[in-house]
Amino acid sequence: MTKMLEVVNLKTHFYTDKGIIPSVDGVSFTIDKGQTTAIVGESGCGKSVTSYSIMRLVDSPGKVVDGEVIFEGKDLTKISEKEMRSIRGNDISMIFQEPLSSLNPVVKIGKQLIETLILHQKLTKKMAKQRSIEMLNKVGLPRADKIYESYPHELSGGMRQRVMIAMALACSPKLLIADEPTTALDVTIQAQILKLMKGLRDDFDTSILLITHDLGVVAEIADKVIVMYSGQVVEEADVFSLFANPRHPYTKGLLNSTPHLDDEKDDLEPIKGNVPSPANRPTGCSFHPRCPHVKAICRKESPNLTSLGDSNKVRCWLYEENQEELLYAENIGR
Amino acid sequence: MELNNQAELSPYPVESSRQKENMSKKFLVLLKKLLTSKTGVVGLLIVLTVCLMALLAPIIAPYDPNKIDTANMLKPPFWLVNGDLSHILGTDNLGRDILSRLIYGSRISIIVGILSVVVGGLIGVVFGLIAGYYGGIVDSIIMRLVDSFLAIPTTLFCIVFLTVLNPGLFTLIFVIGITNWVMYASLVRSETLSIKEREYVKAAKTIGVSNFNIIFRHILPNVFSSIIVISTLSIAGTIITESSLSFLGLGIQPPAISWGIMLSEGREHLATSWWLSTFPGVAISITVLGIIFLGEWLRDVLDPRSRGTKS
Repeated sequence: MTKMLEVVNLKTHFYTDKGIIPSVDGVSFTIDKGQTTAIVGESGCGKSVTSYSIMRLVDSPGKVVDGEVIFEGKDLTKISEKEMRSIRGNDISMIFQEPLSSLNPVVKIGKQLIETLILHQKLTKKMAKQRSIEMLNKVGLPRADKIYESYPHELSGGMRQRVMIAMALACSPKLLIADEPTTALDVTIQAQILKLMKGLRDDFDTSILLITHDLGVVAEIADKVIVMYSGQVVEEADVFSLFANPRHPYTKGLLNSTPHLDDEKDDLEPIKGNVPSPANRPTGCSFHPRCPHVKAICRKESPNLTSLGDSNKVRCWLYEENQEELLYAENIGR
Repeated sequence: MELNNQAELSPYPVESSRQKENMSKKFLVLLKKLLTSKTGVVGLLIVLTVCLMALLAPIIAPYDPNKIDTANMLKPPFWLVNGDLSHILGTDNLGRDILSRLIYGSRISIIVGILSVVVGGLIGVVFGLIAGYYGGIVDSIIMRLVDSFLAIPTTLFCIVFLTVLNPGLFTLIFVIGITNWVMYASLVRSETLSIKEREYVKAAKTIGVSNFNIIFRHILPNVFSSIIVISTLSIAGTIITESSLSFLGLGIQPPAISWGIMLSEGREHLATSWWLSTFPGVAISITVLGIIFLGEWLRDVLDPRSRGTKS
């Protein structure tokens, strides 16, 4: 499997009046060609900031302070703004959570669609129009030529999200970043959009980075899952082992707080407490105040992301090999 | 893919000939829309009349506007005692026909009104967009400039400039335009500040659109309706400024005619011959009102978000 994108020790900090807030705190992962990688986590865990950091669109006062984002041998954090612009929309494109606000309300759909084609593929207006209508057909919009002449407010939410997808895929990007693409849509449309994305991924051989908090969506579409908590990766696993055998207590908690049809239980088990504010993270493992398996060491030292033999990784003292020794050392020290 | 079938069944094949049809259809829709709005029709009629008057002045004016006729000085309008139909709106202190002067005067008022708004609007919109979009130090510099302009009274500014420069049509347009740009700059800046944070601007960035194109293709269309409203309102304002400057003798110089000059010339005879100043005053008011009506309607039509709603 070839690597499409490699993120190494990415750190994005926000410089606010209240001090430096490490929103993304040393995140590393890889995305393979033609695969769908999902980043899962609660609100505020830094998953969206991660995606913006990859696109280099973090707004001030945020700043990528450290780390590398390697795409086709180039470090995206170091290339010029002009080079970055030629990558955005052409090689890496993005779809957003809110299809309702992601389209310019006073510009016709067609004009917005051809913009990227003229920009990156240097097509003529006529060819760009043809290609855009083709794309609109491909994402399953009926009467594509009519939609081409419409304004965004004339379309429904699902249709607009399809337009966004058409726009994002118009230049056949190598990587598509989807930031909660289905959150604002109702379930039936959600299923259609996911199916569409899957189909397009296979057609165009596009890798997808899916940002979501919806484990149902993850199960539906992802190949690999990255669980983020408080700006860090806490678990990385392929989708089957994640659902069959979650390792990190946080992942377990997430799964337990999701309803299942075949469950006998009436009550869900929510994870107690809240995500700690990035400005005020607890010492040691940042999950320890909410963790049911908390140990003495968890409060003191942050665990490392350790490989579990296969491609799966977890950041938890429960899985550190030399855990016993550490505990022992700790007890002696006392 | 399954979903493709839906599109292939679509009963609307792509045709280029349909586009022409669309264009004429669009025009009809616009016209229909205009007719449903009463104020829009009134505004359009007034503005059209004034424009036609300005264009066709030599044809429709009954007299040469500068022809002095000592036999018929200070003749009242026809419905008053001593008035007759040869001078419908009467004559001034030199026996010049008021109606003809009004018709010729519309030329200057229209030209100054529109061009100075264009001058001020262009400068103001560009600076406002740049200040709002880039923020930071650029914004500070432009806004301090705006503040310093705001601190100078408009009339004083015009008076100073017009006395230093040669008074004339284009200096007048330029000076009035310059006093106007501040208004556009601050309006456009504040709108840009809110629009640049919208998701679709971010979306445009994610597809690699350059800053220039984001500003002019994505943000400008969104502030357009506000610009239309404020510029129609200020066309009215500039016509008034032109009149007052001409009234002060700093604008258009006689023998050129503007409504403002007529106002100022009639002032001395106001007690005995009210028609000298009243008719140009009424002409200014009606034109300004017409432009405001038209502007309001234009705003409704040009904003696609308000389309399909009743105006």
